[in-house]
Amino acid sequence: MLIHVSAIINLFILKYNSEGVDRKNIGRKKKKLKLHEEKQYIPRNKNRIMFLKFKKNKMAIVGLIIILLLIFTGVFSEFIAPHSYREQNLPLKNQSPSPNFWFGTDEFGRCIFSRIVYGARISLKVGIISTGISVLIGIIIGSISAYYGGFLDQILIVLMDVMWAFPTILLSLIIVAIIGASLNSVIIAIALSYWVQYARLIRGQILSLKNELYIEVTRSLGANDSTILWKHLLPNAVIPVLVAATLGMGNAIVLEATLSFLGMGAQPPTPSWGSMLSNGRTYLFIAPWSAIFPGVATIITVLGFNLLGDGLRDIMDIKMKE
Amino acid sequence: MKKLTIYLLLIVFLVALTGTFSLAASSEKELVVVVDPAAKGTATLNPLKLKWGTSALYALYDNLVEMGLDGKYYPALASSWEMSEDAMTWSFHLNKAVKFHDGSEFNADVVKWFIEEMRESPSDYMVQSIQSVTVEDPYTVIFHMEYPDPNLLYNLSSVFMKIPSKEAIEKYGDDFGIKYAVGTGPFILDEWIMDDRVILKKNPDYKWGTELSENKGPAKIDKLVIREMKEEATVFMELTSGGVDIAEGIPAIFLEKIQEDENIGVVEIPSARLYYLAMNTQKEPYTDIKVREAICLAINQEEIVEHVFMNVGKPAHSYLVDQLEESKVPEEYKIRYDLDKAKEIMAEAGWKDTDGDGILEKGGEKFVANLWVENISVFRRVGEVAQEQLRKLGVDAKITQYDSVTFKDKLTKGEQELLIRLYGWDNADILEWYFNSKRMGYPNVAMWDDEKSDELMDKAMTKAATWEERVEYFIDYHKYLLKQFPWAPIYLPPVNFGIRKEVIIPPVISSTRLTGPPILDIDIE
Repeated sequence: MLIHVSAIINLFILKYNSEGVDRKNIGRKKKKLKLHEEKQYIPRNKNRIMFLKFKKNKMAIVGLIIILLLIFTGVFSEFIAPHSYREQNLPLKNQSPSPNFWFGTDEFGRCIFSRIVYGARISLKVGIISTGISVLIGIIIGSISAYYGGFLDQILIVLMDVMWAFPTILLSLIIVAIIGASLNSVIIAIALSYWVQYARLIRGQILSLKNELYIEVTRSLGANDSTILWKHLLPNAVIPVLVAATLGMGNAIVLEATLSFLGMGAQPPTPSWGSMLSNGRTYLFIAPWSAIFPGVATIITVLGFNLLGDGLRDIMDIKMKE
Repeated sequence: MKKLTIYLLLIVFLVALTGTFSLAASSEKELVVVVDPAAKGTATLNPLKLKWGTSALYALYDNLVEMGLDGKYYPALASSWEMSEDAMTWSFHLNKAVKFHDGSEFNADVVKWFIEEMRESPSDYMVQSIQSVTVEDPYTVIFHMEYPDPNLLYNLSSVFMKIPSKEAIEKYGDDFGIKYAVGTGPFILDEWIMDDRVILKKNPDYKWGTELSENKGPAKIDKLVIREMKEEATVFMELTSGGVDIAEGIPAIFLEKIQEDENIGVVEIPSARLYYLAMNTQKEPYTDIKVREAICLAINQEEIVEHVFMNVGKPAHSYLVDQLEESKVPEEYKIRYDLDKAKEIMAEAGWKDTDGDGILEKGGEKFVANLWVENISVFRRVGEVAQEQLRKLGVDAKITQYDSVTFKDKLTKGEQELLIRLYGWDNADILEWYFNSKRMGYPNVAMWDDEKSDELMDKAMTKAATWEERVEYFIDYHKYLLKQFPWAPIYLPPVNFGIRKEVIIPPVISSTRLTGPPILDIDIE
């Protein structure tokens, strides 16, 4: 019953939206319509137009630059960091920022700048691997669920809804509590907490694609299920997932920082930004820099992912409207 | 019409608002105490199930006798007592007219019942020396001893022998200590929010205060809130902002800042705490005494005291707090930092760094140790410095942080390798508590099982007739343990109480716990 109602509502929304688009198109100049037609005839240009659109989106460029910087820092940590991230130098504890220690030193006299540089690697690693795993799980479950439909679909939808009902942070805390606190368990916990959104996205995409004419043609040419699914459906359905994954990476980094902040994530002396923030919190009145810099690093990184993700989404949405 | 309704609503709202304000401003005197983050973790308020004493218990319950800071024993629920010449019988004359919070009477029957119940409690050793209890008259009990116990009065004064209401325990069963706690103390349990706060209200009928407080009657404050906080920075902030009135144990890193604050006074009370690193003596490679010795020698206590605790307090070199006579062992028994010797001993035990990565190997396996700490800032900090010190020895220690419940659960299972904890106790029998082979896992966190040790322990616990003999036997036991290296002692913190100006405290503090007898004299301006 409920499904029916929501389907009807969805239909209405779709209708309203399409009307809106139509109305807009009526108002547009002829030139733009021409461009429209051109694109339909030369699909190769699509990428080029997307690139141009991206170039116009300044915020997305900023996001991209931040992320490229993060990747650079993470990959070349050894060359960038002036000091070791783990070696303690107790007499130099809690020193304020200076030419030798750009961001000051922490409670054990370790260079905060170097720890943040190495921390970039941790964040990157967690962001990429955990999002990678959740996208993978999401794609497999979502596409199977959509393609085969029926009873299997029902079961998988229930599973997704149950997982979706849990707040992410709670779910990941439970998972970490079960398998024990470490960086790897955090990666697993994040992956298992976030896959549902990708599964739903891919399911929706494939549902809309699987009745298209070209799929029917492929099938009548004798292609089997896996060829249709992996070669013809997925490549067309995966782009929105990639956009979501960019945004999701930012979320994953925040979740890692959160878990480490709570002591459930990376264990000392691993320089996770979250645990640095947590440790620095004790010294907020004595050595504020030990909490401020890791906090700022987290904010900037997440901002980067969000800006890029938003930019990509804008571009993709336009493409979908075509 | 609409406007009128709005005005009416507004008036109703305002009246309600002033109502709440006038309620909040009622002249109830509330004292908020925060316990030391390192000593938090109340699991029960039932003395008969207690494994870890907490401040709330001192306000809820009374003991038969009370020990002052001067080390003397004062009458409490027992108004006087005598010991027979052979030290085999003790008679206690009970304070009449003492009533539990639930109205039931405190008398000789309750004491007899209590001693019998103690035999099933985690602290059963405290009544081990008592063979039987007879009721002479409603207010006199006689303890018949199995052997002379010079430590009897100490045990009777401890937090584990606070006397709960018999009626209440029989009535509430397992809920006693969680939902209910009924004692004879100056405060009554109002509410306990686990891991957060215990709210107590004044016992208006209280009139059996000890000589340790000037005020013998009901407490001067109406409400006592005992809070637990995990973060030292939170304690500091709450104390400076006035959110709490008394902080039991100012974190060392904030001591200087608090001393500068003119709204807060600092009172030092001799403490009986000791931080230690324990090794699981039943797990490879810690079964090897040489490995244990090397690890003990690699821990640099002075460095930890200087840099983690900002030189507040002293390094620990034995397993007992240094105000105890039993801690005074000859120098060669004390555990002191000596990295070169530690490295030599490791080499003797067959652990060598063959591949030059700084980590020792034996039989192709690297020395990787799991170091467990509780998820509390101070333990993590000690852990992180110890981790680096062990690294200098060539041990790759991996830290894992657990919340206090999981941590104790894990210890009970005996899965630990290395761990850092603290204890608070000012009697040498703590050695029995932590090293008795009958208490594996927890409290015997080192999983220490040794025949000779148990023999010496038994002698110290049960064979001494006088206090002097007991000290002597305990020194022997202590010396033996130190040479077996199950623990590396780390740090003896002082207890600095931070007390806000509004709080009036007695000029001389008579007990180690402010929530004990001194609470009766505490008032708020």
